[in-house]
This record gives sequence, structure tokens and C-alpha cells, in this order.
Amino acid sequence: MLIEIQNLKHIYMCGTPFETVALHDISLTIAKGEFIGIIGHTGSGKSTLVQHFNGLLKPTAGSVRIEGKDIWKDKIEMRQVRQKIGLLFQFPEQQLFAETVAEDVAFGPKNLDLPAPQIQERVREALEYVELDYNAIKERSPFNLSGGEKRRVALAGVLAMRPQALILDEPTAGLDPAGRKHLLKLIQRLHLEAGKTIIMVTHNMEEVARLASRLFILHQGKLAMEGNPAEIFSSGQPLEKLGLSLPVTVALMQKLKEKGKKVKTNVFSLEEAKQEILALWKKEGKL
Amino acid sequence: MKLQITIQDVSYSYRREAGEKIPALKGVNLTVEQGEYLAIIGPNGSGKSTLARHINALLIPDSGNVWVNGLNTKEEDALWEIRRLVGMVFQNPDNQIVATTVEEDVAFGLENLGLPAKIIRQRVKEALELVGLHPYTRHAPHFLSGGQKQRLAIAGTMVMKPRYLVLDEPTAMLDPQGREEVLQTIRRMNQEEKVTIIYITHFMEEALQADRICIMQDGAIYAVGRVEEIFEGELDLTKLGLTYPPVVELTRELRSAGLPIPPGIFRLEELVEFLCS
Repeated sequence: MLIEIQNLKHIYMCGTPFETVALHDISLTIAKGEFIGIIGHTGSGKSTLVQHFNGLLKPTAGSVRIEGKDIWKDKIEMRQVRQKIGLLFQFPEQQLFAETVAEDVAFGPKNLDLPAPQIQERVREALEYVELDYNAIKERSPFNLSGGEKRRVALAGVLAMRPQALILDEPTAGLDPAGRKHLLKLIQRLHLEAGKTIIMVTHNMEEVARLASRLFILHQGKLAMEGNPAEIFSSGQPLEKLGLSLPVTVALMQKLKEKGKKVKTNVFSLEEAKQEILALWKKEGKL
Repeated sequence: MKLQITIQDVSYSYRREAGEKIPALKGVNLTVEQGEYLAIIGPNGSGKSTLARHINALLIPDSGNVWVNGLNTKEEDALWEIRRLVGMVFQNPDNQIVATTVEEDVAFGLENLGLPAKIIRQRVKEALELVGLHPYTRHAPHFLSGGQKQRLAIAGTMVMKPRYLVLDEPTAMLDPQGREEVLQTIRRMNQEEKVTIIYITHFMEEALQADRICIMQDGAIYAVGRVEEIFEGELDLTKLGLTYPPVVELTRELRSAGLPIPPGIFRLEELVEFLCS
């Protein structure tokens, strides 16, 4: 098991009048190679939870195990944990700082004390992963790039550490439709071709429904639901009580079903929805 | 004096330290009538936010003019009145909070006008009721949800009794419920309070709520039209790096596959109704 969380509790400002329980008794596991979606409304604890996955926060109670080792009790190098499990924060382009793209991406590997040619190799590889032309972009200032490019440079900075798993906290927030589409495709490739475990926090139900194999839903710091997209999105009512919405394709199919149409409701892409509706029309003899 | 926003041939460049100029707006012309609801869409870097910041004189054009109800944003004497007339709400709710309680936050603008406490209190109460935050008057803003924080930001502008509200991706950081809350609030400000809305978004389905849609591309206005003109006209939004709202995209696909779907179907309920008719 890559990540094992047991009875995790996190309290911010513990012991002060501002004490807030952010996570309450959470247990979950994530296996190598999974694509996990984490959803839940603002303040439900998503960002707090993922920061436990690579030891950025220390649990108030409970344990976090990475590949079987308790990262707070066993003797391990936290650096290795963080190298293994990379985290891309929300709006990561705000953290770009270097004068050139190459220097920015090289920051992580440099701290690993690697020899220069190896660092360069990693920077090139990481930029290629995010589909930026190494030679064309390496000397440019990260601040003069477009919004989508900046975010991809930030992602390259995490990939340069060659992590096994990637945690992405709302990776597409604020991007335009083309930028969103491109980034999602990259993430999917990192999962399928590079074999990376992906843990994605998002507000976008369409994205996780289509991409993730398993979903965790947080509500008021608790793990409210867990399952594959079909299980989660067929539950209907409870989801809305958690302040979440259905992917538009599922909502459409459910409405059609309510009106007596024989359609399946586990439809997660527009293409599938189109096929399902065309099939319905043919069946009804209208087409 | 015309009760409208007139943007006339506006160009603007950002300047880097080395004196290098980066053009952001290239001869933009646009008129927004009082009372209307205009959505602005366009790829990142197309100039949407730069244009928005010209409307309440946060930026002044290099060339061309911006008039708000007949006041030119270049005239320093008009600044206060322009900023009262045009409220702005930005993307990140946390960056807009200035006080430690909800009511103080809303009162901030009015206090700067030096109004008597009694009037301030009354107007703050009204503004909070407008956005449905009156149960939270004494709460600390940072304990509010994302949607509530954005409604707080809207209350903070509404308290100044503006005629225009410029919102720059106010839902980008919100969950679905928060988005819906904010969209409903904005709709109400437009329909009931008759406030003109200028709404920048990357979510095409949010643009459906507007009367008109303006598409920006590379610092210029590429097209302006009513919702049906933009989503059902000749334009191919995908070539501009944009998409269609999901239901519109599905409707287009179904149409090209031979389904006789009439024009004017943009929303889920409308498509369901057609498919079941």
C-alpha cells in the first residue's frame, strides 16, 4: 500500500480559543497506480488531508504510513517521503520565483545534491512531460509566460523530483477551457504512460467522474463517502446534501430516467451521453 | 449625460522594469447600458481583467477613453464617484476581507465617506440582507465558506449603492454550492436592484445567465452578441481556445447526428423537455 491513513485527526491551533477540528477520524488507503479524486465543499478538509499524505502536517492523533512505514514514529527520512509523493498546491504559479524557467524547475533536484548534468537531464525530462519545449523555454522568465504555461512550469518543478505519486490540489482552477483541457490530458498521460499515482482534489465533478477510478468525499472533516464514480454518482440525493452536484451528464440521464426513458445513468462523458441519447431515439423509432 | 459605460478605442500596455511594453488592450470599443447583464469570456491573457480594471479607474488607458455615466476615468476629481458607481469583486475571497467581523467588513467603504454611525448601521444591515448574510452579522469573516465570503465581498460593494458591479471570476475558487449561491446573488442584484453586471468567467455555463456575451481575444473584442448569437451562430468557439457550455456542446453534437433539436436549447431542463416531447 502506498498510503495508509488510520484514525487521522487534525486540529488547527490546538489548545487555543481558536481551536478548529479540521479532520476527524479518517481512515483510508491508496494503492500504487490509482487515480484518486477527492471532493467536498470548501472547508471540508480536503487540502488539510492531502498535506498529511507527504508529511507536511503532523497529525493530532492517528497514523500516516507510506509504503508500510509510519512517517511520524518509525525512523525515516522525511525528505524521501516528500520526494516520493509530490504535491502541487493551489495556484502553484504564485510560487514561481527564479529568473529562468530552467532554474525554477531545477530548484528541487539541486537540493538533492545531484551533479549538474543529472539536474539538467531531470529539468529537460520534466519540461517534456508537461509539453513545453526545453530549448525554447529554458532561458525565459517564468513571469512572462501565459497562465496555463506558468502552471505547467510549476508542475514540472514537482515532476523534476521524479515522484511516484502526485497530489494535485485543484490543478485546473482559474485556467481557461483550453488550458484546463490540456492540463487534464497531461495528468491523464502521467497516470497512464508514466504510471504515476494521481491524487486530485477538485470542485469539478465532470473531471473526476471521467478520470478517477476511486473517489473520496469529505464533509465537515469526515470521510462521508468512498467508491468508484458509478457508485458515488448514482447515490443522487445524499450527494446534494453534502453541497456537491452531479456531473452534468449524470444529471441529464437521471432526469431522462425519471421521465420514464430507459437509459443508463452512469454516463461520465459527453460522447457517451450522445451515444446513449442516439440509441434511445433509434429505439423509439424517431431516428 | 449618458447612463452607461462607454469604452472608446482603449489601448493599454503593461510596463516591465526594462521599459519593455506588453500590450494588453488594443483599441477596445464597448458600450454597457445601465441595467444590462454582460458576460465577458476569453482565454487567459486575452485582456479581460485588464479591461475590468479600466472600468473603475484602477487602470487608466494609454490612449482612448472610458466614461462611466459621463465621467471620464482620466479625471482625478471623478475618481471617488466612479469607484462608488462601479463596485468590483475579485477572484480570491480571502484577499478582499479587511475587518474582523462581517458587519465591520461591509461598513469599511461607508466609514471612509464619513457618514454618521446610524446611517452606516442601517445601510450595512440592508446590504447584508441583500446577499442573505444577515444571520452572520457578528461573525468573523474567515469562518465563512467560500460562497459566503464572495457574497460578503458583494455586500461590501452594494453598501455603496453602486450602479455597476464588475466581477472578475468570482467563482473560480468555489465549490458547486458556493458557485450557485454567488450566481443567484448576482442575478438578484441585476433583476431586483437593477444593478448593471459585468461578469468575467471561464465557465461557459455561467455566461448563459447574461443578456449579452462579449468574447475577448488577444487584447481586442472578438465578438459581442446575445447568448443565442454567440452559442448558436457561425462562430467556432473551440478555435478560440474556448468551449461551449456542456449542454450546448451535447446539443450541437446531437444536431449534427441528425436529431431535429430546435434553436434556443441551452439548459439541461430544456434538453430533457425536448427529448421527452
